[in-house]
Amino acid sequence: MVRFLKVFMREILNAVLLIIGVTTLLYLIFNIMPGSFIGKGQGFVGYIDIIRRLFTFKFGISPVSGRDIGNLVFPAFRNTLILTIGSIIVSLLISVPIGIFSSYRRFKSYSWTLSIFSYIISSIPVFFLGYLVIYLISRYTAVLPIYYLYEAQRGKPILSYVLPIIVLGIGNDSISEIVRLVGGELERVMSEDYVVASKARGERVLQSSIHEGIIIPIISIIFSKIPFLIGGAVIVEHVFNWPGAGRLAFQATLDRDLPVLVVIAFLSVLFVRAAALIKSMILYYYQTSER
Amino acid sequence: MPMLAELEGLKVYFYDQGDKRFIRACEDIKFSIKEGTVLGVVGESGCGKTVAALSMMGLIDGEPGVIEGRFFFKPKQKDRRSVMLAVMRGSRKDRDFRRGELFDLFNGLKRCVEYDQYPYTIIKDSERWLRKNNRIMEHVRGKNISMIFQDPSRSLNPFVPVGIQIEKTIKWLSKNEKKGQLESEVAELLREVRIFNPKVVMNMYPDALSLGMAQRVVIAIALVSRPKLLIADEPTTGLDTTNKYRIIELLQQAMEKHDMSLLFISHNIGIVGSIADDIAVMYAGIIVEFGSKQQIIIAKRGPKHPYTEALVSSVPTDADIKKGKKLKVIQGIVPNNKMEVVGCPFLPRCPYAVGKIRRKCRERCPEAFEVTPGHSIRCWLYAN
Ligand SMILES: Nc1ncnc2c1ncn2[C@@H]1O[C@H](COP(=O)(O)OP(=O)(O)O)[C@@H](O)[C@H]1O
Ligand code: SF4
Ligand SMILES: [Mg+2]
Repeated sequence: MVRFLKVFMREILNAVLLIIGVTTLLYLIFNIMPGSFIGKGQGFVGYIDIIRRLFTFKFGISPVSGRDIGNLVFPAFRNTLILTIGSIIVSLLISVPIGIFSSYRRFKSYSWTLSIFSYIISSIPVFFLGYLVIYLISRYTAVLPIYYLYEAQRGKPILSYVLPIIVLGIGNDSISEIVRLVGGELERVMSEDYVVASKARGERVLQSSIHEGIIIPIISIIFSKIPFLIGGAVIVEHVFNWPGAGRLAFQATLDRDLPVLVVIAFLSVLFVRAAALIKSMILYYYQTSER
Repeated sequence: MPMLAELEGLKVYFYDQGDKRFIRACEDIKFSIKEGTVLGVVGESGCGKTVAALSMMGLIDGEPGVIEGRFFFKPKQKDRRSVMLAVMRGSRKDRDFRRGELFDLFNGLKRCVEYDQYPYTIIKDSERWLRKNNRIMEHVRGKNISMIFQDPSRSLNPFVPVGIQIEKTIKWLSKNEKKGQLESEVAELLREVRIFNPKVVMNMYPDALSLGMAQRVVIAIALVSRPKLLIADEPTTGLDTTNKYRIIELLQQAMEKHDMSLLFISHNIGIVGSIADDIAVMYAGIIVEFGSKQQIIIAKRGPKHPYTEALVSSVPTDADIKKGKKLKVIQGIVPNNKMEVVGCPFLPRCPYAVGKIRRKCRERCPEAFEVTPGHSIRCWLYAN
């Protein structure tokens, strides 16, 4: 329990320090930049004001669009969250079976064919893949909506999630990494002496090896990929006209909507650190339950 | 005594990707095990003992290389049918998959193997080879043949308490068991291998066990299924002398109790001599001599392979120790098994290869000559 608290507090402290660092930097930069901004030119007092607003989640009104920032930002983050998590699931669904297969059936020609396939698809840039998919789908079929359907037009809103999630899932270059990791780890575990020994007893070892060898590495790689996924999401959101945080940030940058940018930076940090927190909690849980 | 297992013409080569040549691990291995007896396999390390045992279990994983041979085995009565079906499924065409009660567990595997340039057989389809072999071995592995691996502490899962590992094996072999029953069964098994505080040991992790204890646990796990054949790969290596003989006693008792045969692998001819009924002496991947313990160790005179002779005389007798004689060593080193074999592999170390016979030794590897019934030697000295 003490160790658990230690891990927990370390993560929280990490997040707080990061938030202070990011906001300080932004505040300094925005003070130099043209544009209107709450607390601009008020030095430390202005900074405290911003921090207060952020931590109470009362962000105020955007000076550019005149809308409440909270109403603007939260739905965008929800969309990005859906996109990110969905794409992780897609990546896993593609890469884990390939990894398991190619190490379990190591000598078959199709196992390296699959590995090469995974390298190829994860080296396609997201923007290219996105436009390619849009082109193919809209030209030859009409089954899936190729852009985000706003409330009024929504027939089946779920459908408009499908393409962006798949494209980001394939294009976020984590597939080949996971394939390599899963394959290597599984091979290592399966050639452990005790696994060979239980094989000699006639037991099936694949399942327990998967359980033992690859769950922890997969968890750590997924959560450490989340920051990069948010980066990739910006592009996908653009391609698919998907109202997520990335697009919002881009728009706010063009508009010099500084308060919105600060809020987005703040929420991104929260998002990333929350992922790290969950990761260390899960790993902690696994390690204690194993020993 | 009826035969339990016969291994014939086992050939295992590994392919060394770096050097682009074959490593000869086993060459033309042939031995047989009678029911209820102990076959000892002895030879210097690196001569292919472990590889031979692993290939009997079908556990050589299919790296590009060579594996070939026939392995006849008599399964338990209750597994007979399933083994027979699996073996026949291997290949219906080969009619000689059966020798009385014995079935060729390598049946049909030949067809996944393609001959290239003699003596190298290249496995073209190791994937299919493994799959076929697995299909047969899944009725045999664990249920009929168990194996104890070289290093007991490494053949236990370090993350799981030993009791749970034994339970897992019991559950695997008989699907319906109650929890309380399982625990008492585990305790019973541990007591059988002379662990007197099973309740404590059950909750220990493998790294908390001493080597001797780990070996006992491993033996207990191997005995769960009451196998007909137990392959023990260097079970006494690394143990102190008292523990060594306790483990041997344990194995002997288990054999008697469960009507089991034992394939006992060791590099120590003294230990092998203390337990084995028959002995196979291995050198550089070949069996240079096969015979009963009487013929190989006890008989002071009579035909012997030069290597066996050297091995036997390198064990000091009590008289030698009293007189303070120096230990005899076998001159030279184990040959590099990456080399092509031409001639007898023992030639560089053989004191008998002199005169007329030497040319023969250099030109061709001797086949096995039967000197007396049941005693064969691969040496040109005994060519008839
Ligand atoms: N998986 C493998 N790949 C390549 N060479 C191997 C492999 N396993 C064993 N060998 C080679 O086979 C030879 C015999 O090894 P082994 O059977 O372990 O000897 P030992 O008689 O000491 O048990 C060794 O020279 C080793 O280099
Ligand atoms: S065949 Fe020749 S070299 Fe080989 S053991 Fe016999 S005498 Fe020695
Ligand atoms: Mg060995």
